[in-house]
Amino acid sequence: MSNVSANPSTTRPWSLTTERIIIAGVLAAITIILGVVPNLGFIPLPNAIGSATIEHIPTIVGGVIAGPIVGLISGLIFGVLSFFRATVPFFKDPTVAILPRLFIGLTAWATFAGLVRINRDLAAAAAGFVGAATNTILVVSALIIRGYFPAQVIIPIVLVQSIIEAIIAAILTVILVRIFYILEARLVHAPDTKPRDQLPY
Amino acid sequence: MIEIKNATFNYSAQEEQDVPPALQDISLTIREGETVAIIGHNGSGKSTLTKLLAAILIPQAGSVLVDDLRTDAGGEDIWTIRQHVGVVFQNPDDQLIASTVIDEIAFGPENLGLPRAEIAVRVQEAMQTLDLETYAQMAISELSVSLKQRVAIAGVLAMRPRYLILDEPTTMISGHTAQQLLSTIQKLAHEQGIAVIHITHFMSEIVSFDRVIVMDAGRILMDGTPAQVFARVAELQAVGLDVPMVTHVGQTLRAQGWSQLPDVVLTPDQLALSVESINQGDRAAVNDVDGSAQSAVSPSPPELTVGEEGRAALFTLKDVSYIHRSGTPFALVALQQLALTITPGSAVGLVGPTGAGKSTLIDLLAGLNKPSSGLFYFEGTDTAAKSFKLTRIRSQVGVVFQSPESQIFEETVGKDVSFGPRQRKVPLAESRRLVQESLEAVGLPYEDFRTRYTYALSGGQKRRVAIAGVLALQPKVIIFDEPMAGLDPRGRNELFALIQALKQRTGLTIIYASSSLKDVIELVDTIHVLDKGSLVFSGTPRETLARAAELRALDIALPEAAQIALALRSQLPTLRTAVLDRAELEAELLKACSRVL
Amino acid sequence: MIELSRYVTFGQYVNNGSPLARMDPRAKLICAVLLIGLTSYLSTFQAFALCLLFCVVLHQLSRISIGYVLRSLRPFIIFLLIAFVFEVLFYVPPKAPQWLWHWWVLGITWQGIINSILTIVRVLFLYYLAAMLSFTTSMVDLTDGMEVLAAPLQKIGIPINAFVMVLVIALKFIPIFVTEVERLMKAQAARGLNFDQGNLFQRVSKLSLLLIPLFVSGFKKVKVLNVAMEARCYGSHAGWHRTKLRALHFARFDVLALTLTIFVCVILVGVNLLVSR
Ligand SMILES: Nc1ncnc2c1ncn2[C@@H]1O[C@H](COP(=O)(O)OP(=O)(O)OP(=O)(O)O)[C@@H](O)[C@H]1O
Ligand SMILES: Nc1ncnc2c1ncn2[C@@H]1O[C@H](COP(=O)(O)OP(=O)(O)OP(=O)(O)O)[C@@H](O)[C@H]1O
Ligand SMILES: [Mg+2]
Ligand SMILES: [Mg+2]
Repeated sequence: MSNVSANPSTTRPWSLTTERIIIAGVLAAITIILGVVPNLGFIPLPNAIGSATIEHIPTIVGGVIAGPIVGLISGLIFGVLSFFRATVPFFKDPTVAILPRLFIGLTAWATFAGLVRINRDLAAAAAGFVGAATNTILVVSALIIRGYFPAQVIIPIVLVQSIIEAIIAAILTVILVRIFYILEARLVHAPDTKPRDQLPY
Repeated sequence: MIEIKNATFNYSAQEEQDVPPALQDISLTIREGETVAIIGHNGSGKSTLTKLLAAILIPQAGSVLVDDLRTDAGGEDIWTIRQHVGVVFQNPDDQLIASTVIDEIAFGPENLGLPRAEIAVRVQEAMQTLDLETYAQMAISELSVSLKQRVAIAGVLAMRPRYLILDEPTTMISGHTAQQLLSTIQKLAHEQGIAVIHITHFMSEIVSFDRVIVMDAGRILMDGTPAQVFARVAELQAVGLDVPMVTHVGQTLRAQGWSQLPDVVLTPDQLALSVESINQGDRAAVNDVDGSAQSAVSPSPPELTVGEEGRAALFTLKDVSYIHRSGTPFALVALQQLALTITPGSAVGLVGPTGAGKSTLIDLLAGLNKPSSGLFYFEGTDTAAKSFKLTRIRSQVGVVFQSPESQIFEETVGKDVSFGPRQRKVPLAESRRLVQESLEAVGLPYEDFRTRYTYALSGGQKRRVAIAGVLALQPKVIIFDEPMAGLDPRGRNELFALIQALKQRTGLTIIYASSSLKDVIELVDTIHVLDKGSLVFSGTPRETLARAAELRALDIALPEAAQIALALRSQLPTLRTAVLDRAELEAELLKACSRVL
Repeated sequence: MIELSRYVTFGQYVNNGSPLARMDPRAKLICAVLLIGLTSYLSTFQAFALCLLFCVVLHQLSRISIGYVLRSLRPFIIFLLIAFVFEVLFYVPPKAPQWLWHWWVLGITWQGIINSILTIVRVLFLYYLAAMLSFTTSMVDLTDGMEVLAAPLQKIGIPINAFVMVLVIALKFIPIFVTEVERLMKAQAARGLNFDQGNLFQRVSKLSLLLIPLFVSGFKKVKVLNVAMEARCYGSHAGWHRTKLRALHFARFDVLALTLTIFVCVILVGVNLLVSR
């Protein structure tokens, strides 16, 4: 407890400590809330599907800050939740709703762990992008493989949306990971981002 | 026995920022069965000390021994220590783990790997001690805070600790409930020999403890019996603490020549005893003067009642009801048939026990929810009308919510305080001025705080930032929902002064909700007492105090001065008990006794 | 109106002491999994009709008002309809199709319509079964049942106990976080924020005003809860194990229900095979 490591996600990535169990629990709760509270988990978009989801963000964050095991557990919970809440028939298929979600946290963690030595913000952004992309690519592949949609139909529909989703995920992951480390380091003062006379405070 | 020898503890990152260690060279011994109180200002290291005792933190220098086991030894010992030292933390929501009461109490014994039968026995025992049997199967999220607190204590007791540490268990509960909890805890110490270590910001709670330890900036400043500690008033005040009001009263009276009083008066009973000795003279005389005395007492000073009719009311509620989660099997009536009028420029108190519906009412007043039924007029306009926009209320009413943590949502203090002005598209320079003014009004240096991360603020600072954020909106009405919870005496005094200063601003309406009369009584002109979602009565502070018995039945804590006066009532029948503050109490006491003599 | 807690009550346990509510969670879970598997497999209207019969009996046993179940379904109806249209339009017929209407990859066939109706019926049944499980089983029972059923996995090194603790913690935090989000929304509305306006970028930034404090509060609670759990001897070191106060008991009703469910599954699969041939 007292010896908090500088980089929680990369020290002994596959072991499950009490802290990691709690992180997974907290992120699972957030995932569930994003799913249950109306409009919280979605950003309305003007396209065919209608909205970009951010429900995978907790899973990505879990992978980045607490390693692959937490990413895996969060992904599983996310998957099971979307399986049960699904109203469209193809999401009542576990290979579409659950299986792809297991990989979100893993790829996000791997990306972050690989790039964190270069720059933490960059690594977080990449992890967010890759995590969201994993989600879209695997779900869409599952839809095509299971024969719900032909590829030439589904890909144009989701293309724009998935790019927006990935960008939103990248931005939010950077912000959230940065805050995690601010809390971890107990920083007190933020640097000013603009000259004083352009700030409202 | 717990022995702390020269322990120093430093949260590692603090070093980087040149902050002194949270604990410095502490030495302390706590024996079994002892009741120890720890007081100290916010951030003085009290909670850190409890973590050291429970072997959650290991001191960097010095040692901590619990029943001759060192906390830094590692291995199995740590679990034995944690079993012996039970900790109930500050906020019950932070420590309850399971979803139902019985599972929560069983959590600790389950972790010890005990056989099922043994767990059942312990859970039963703990529930009995804290009187929780009827709640066994309830969901924790449906419990009130005071019940949650009791569940937390039961959960620790089920582990059969030898030392029970309570970190500010009474900040979230009040009045009679808090006293009951304390007496239960003291009974544990006396009957089961469990040492109790009680951390608190309320001085009057600890007068019956064996020992009081005063902490300041990571060091132990005093360690002695309550009488010894509370004799050093000046020193205590210098570190932001205080002594119980009755001690102050005792001092004043001694200075006035009541030589029978002990050096340090700790309870109203002690005052009463000495009053009795003065009172040796014939009681007949007392009864004689009684009638005239009562009428001779100056009638309560005229409160503002004139001219109110003329002004249009700010809020008018008629038969208002509000139902939470209506339309589900979990619906709950929070307000029923409530009628209330609030005039502009007044200072109004909303007082009621927990669950009375204060916060629900505040949401209505702030335009955040609409009543389920009934009439709600804002400045004479019906809010149910189609053309009425709730934003009209919101733009004029500012709310400081019950828990400041959840109303600060930006990354830095500056961004958060400027949120309101930004939403209104106030020009940048004007917004900067508003932020500066608001921060300075709440006593936070602008240059230092504008770039501070909101995550790094202490509880008291958060509350100030929340108030600053509301002031920057330049509202006509400010609503405070239990703003004092969890603050140390200095913090409370400063906030009190701030609200008092706001009250002087012309045209500002202040609404203050609380579950005790303590601060309300000195701040407001009118008090509305709520219970179970309806209005019980309204009146001036003095009228409210006169109904002490009713208030007590509602579990609303009286101000300390009135409590003391009531305790002296049997000895001094002529004493007027509707006293607002200490000065008034002392004056009344002197007056009542000089009449007797 | 800012009131979130109501959304979280849908699909919550209704403790009415009915036979289904008292059933052993293990038996209930196995039955639910069997039935969910069954409905995913069924592909004929005849079999679904028999299934409906079974659900009527089930509903009688649960003693839950049908109105409440249907009301919780209402928000999904519109999605179901949209999904129906999509299904019909994108249906890819296996053989040379009898187009009623055709353009590019879109088209309408009778087969497509029948198939889509079948999927809707299937989704409704799935939804009903899942809702029934959550209405009649408390989350505590559910996690208990899962823990016991999955115990063999623990032996091969999959941390089931830890996973169940994750669920327990998630359940604890859901009501707390809902209250927090509700308070945040109130605080923001009180300070002049209007939620339903703005372009994409503004919406993202508004959402992040809720999302970020939620995560921050979560991160902070991790530390505090970690301390609280360790203080109560929760460990994750080698050789440590927990025991449980709760014991599950298989009663006669559970055995009966289990046998009946298996029986129903076999019959329905048989009917489905017969009819589709
Ligand atoms: N987890 C932590 N990491 C780093 N510093 C901390 C941590 N917890 C507390 N501190 C710092 O250690 C000091 C002592 O804090 P502690 O919580 O022990 O005070 P306290 O007396 O319990 O205060 P309060 O009355 O507000 O509860 C403070 O300066 C605080 O900022
Ligand atoms: N969001 C909510 N959902 C459901 N019930 C609620 C909600 N908020 C409050 N309640 C219930 O409504 C009743 C009134 O609660 P309210 O918070 O208004 O009381 P209060 O007087 O502010 O109490 P306290 O002093 O504890 O803050 C309580 O029984 C409470 O449990
Ligand atoms: Mg503390
Ligand atoms: Mg309240």
